[in-house]
Amino acid sequence: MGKRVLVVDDEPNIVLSLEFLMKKAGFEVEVARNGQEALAAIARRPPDVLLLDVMMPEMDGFEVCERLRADPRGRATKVVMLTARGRDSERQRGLALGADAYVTKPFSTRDLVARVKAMLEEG
Amino acid sequence: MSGPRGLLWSFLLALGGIAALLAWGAAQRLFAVDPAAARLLGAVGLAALPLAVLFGRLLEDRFLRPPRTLARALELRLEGREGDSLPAAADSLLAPLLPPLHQLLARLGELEGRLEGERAEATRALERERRRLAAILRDLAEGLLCCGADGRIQLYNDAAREILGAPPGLGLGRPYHLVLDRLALDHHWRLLRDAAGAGAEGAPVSRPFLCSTTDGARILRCRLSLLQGEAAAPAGFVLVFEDVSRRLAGTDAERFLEEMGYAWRGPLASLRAAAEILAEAPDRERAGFLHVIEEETARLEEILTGLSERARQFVIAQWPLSDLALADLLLLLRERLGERDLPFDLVDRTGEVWCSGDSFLLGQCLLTFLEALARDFRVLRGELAATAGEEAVALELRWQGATPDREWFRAWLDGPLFGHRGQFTPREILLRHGARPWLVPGEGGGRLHLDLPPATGLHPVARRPALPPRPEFYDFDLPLPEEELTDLLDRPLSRLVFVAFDLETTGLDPDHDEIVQIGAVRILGDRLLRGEIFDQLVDPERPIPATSTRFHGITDSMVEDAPPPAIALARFKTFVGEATLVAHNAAFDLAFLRRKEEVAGVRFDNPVLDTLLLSALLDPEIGDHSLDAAAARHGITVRARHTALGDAVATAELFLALVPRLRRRGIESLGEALAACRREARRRQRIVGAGAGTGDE
Repeated sequence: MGKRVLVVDDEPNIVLSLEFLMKKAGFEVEVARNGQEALAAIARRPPDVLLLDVMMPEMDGFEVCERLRADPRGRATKVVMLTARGRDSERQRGLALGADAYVTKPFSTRDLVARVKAMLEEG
Repeated sequence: MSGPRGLLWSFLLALGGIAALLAWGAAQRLFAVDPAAARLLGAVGLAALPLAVLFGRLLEDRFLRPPRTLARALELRLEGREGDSLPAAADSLLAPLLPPLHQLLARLGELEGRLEGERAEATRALERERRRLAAILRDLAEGLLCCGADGRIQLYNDAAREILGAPPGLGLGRPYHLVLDRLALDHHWRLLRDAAGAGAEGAPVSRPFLCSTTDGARILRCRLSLLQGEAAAPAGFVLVFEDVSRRLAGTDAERFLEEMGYAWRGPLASLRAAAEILAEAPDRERAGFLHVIEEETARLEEILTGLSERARQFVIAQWPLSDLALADLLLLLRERLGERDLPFDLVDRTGEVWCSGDSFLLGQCLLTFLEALARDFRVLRGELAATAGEEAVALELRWQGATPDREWFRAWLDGPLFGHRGQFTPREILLRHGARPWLVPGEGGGRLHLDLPPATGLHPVARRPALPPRPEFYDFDLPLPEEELTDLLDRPLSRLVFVAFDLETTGLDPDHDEIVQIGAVRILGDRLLRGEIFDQLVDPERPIPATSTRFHGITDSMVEDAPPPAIALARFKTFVGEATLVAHNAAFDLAFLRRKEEVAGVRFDNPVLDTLLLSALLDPEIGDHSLDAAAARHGITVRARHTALGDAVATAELFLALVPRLRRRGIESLGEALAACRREARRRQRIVGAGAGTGDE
C-alpha cells in the first residue's frame, strides 16, 4: 500500500500543484483547507506525511503541529512545514514544536518531492 | 508705655506722689501747731503732682523726643523712603552727632549708588544671556527638561509644556515625577549614573528610552543625559523628548509594511510550482519559455527576500534600542523580584551575551511573566539562558513544574504590563524588538523563547562633548529648596516657593457662596514665574447672581463646561503642591477653599501669608490697604483687576515688593513672616470697631 500525504493550506492554487506533484510521485493524497479540517483528517487516520502551511487564519500551522505531536498516534507522521516567513527563528520554532522539515515559500517543487521521498526512506 | 519714656514717667509720678503724700502727712501733724504753715505745706503737696508732670514734659521734649525723631528719620532713610536730610536739632543734646551722621549717610548713599550700578549692569548681562537661552529653547521642537540631582526641575521649554499637555504639576523647582513616569526615568537615570560612577572609558553618557507621562496619556521618546557639575557626581540630568503616541498608534501602517515582505510569497510559490510542472511537459518550445518564467520567478524571490528584511528593520528602527548585557537584565529582574517580595530563584545562564533592546521594558515583560508563573503554577525557580546567533540573540526562560497552555500564554502576551500605565502589552513590546515570542512545552515544564536583535557593538549615544562643564548661556542657580532637611520655617523668604492666588465667587459669604474662578501664579524665591499660571473657571453648581457678575464679569454660560469645585480644587492643589500660599485678605479666600476640602479630597494645609496684613504692618500710618491702594503705593499696575488671575499676579507683585521691606524690619524667614501676620491680625481685630478693616473686595 502507498504512502499517504495530507496537504494542508488555505491557498487553493498551491494545493492544486502540491496535490498534482505528490500524486505524480506515487503518493495517496488527501487535502485540508484549514487547521480544523486537518485535525479532523488526522483524527480519522494519521497520514505518513503532513505538508503543513504555517500561516492560516484561526489555527496556524504551529498549533496543528503541536496538537498532532500531543496525540500518541500522531508521533509517526513526518511533518514538513511550509511558510512565507523566512526567518531563522521561525524555522527553529517549527523544529522545536516537532516538525521534521521547514520549507520557505517559494520553493523548488523538485526539491520538495525529493525531500519528502528521502524522509520516508529514512523511516 | 515702655523703655526710657515709661521709666521716666513712672519715676516722676512716683516722686510727685510721694512728695504729695509726705507734704500732706506733715501738714496734718503741723496743723495743730501752725495752721497757716500747714495750709502752705498742704498747697505745696497738692502742687507736687502737676509740677512733676510739667517737669516730665520738659524732660521729654528736651531729651527723649529728639532721639526718637532722629531714629525715625534714619529708619525711613534706610528703608529708602526719605533723603539724607535729618531733623535740625541745633539746641538738642544730639547736635554733636549730626555732622558725623550726615557724613555716614553720604558715604552710604555713595556705596548704594555704586552697588546699584554694578547690580544693574550684572542684571543686564544676565538678562542678555537669559534671552539668548530663551531663544534657543523656544526654537527647539523637542521638549527639554533639566533636573537637579534632587530630581527637581530647573529648566524646561515651551515645547516641553506643550508635549506634556500643560499638566498642573509642571513647574520650576518641582519634582519631575509629577509629570513623567518615575519608574522608567529613575531606572535609566540610575544606569547612567552607575556607568559614570564606574568611570569606564567611553561609558555612555546618554540613553534613549520610552517613557509615559504620569497620567499615562502620552508616550514619549526620550534621551536622557547626565548634567555634569563641578563635583564628581552628576549635578542632574537633561531630558530631551518628543511625543510618539500617535506614531506608535500608527502600527497598522507598519504591520502592512511588514506584511508586504511576505504577502507575495504564497502566490509566488503557487506560480513557481505551476511553472515547474508545466516545464516538465515534453514540448521543447514551451519548456524554454517556461524556463525563463522560472528564472524570473527566482529573481523576484530574491528581491522580495530583501524587501521583507528591510520592512523588519523599519519596524525595529522606530523603537529606540540600546546595547544591553543580558546579565544586567537578569540583575534587574532579581532586584525587581526582591522589591516585589517574590522569592523566585532565577539562575544565570546568560554568559557574556549582549543584545539590543530597551532594558526597562524587556525587564517589565519578563517580570510580568515570572509573576504570572509564580501566581498560577507556584513555579518559583527557573533559569535565564542566552545564546548569540548570527541573526538574533535567543533568550530563553526555562522552568520545571508546570506547562502553561496557549490560552495562558496569550493572556500574558495581551495582558497588562507590570508597573506601566496602559499603552503597552508584552506582545507590543516584543514585536517592537522584532522578537516573536513562543512558548515551548517540555516534559513537566516549559520555556519562553525570545529572539532579540543582536547588539550593535557601537553605542548609539552621544559622546561627552569637549565643552566647559557649564555652558555660558545657562543659569542653573535658581533658588531651589534643595536643603530638604532645613526646617521650612527657618528658611529665608528668598529661598521659598510661593503660589499667589485669588478667587472670584458668587458672593461674600463663604458659608453660602461658591467659587467661580481660581487664578494663581508661582513665585520662586524672588522671581515671579509668569509662565507658570493656573487659570480655571469653576462651575458653582448654582446660578451666579447678577450682582456678582457685574463685579467679575463671569456669567452662567461661561461656566457651563467648567469643572465642578471638587475637580477644580483637586487640580489647584496639584498646582500648589507644598508651596506657601499668598493672598490678599487671605482669610476670605481660605474660608472658601477650606469648605471644599472634603469634596475635593485634598487639604490646603500649606503655610499662608497675607499681603493685606503685611502691608498694614509695614505702613501702620496708612488706612487704606486694599489691593488697589497697596499696589499703587508700590508702583504696581494691576492689569486685569477682578479677574482671579489678574488679581493673583498683582498680589504676587505686591508680595515681592513687600519682602525686601520686611527684611529691613528683621522679618526674613517664613516663620517670622507668619508670626508677623498673626500679630497684625490680632492687632487689627482689637481695633476692628474703629473701621480699619479695608478688604480686597
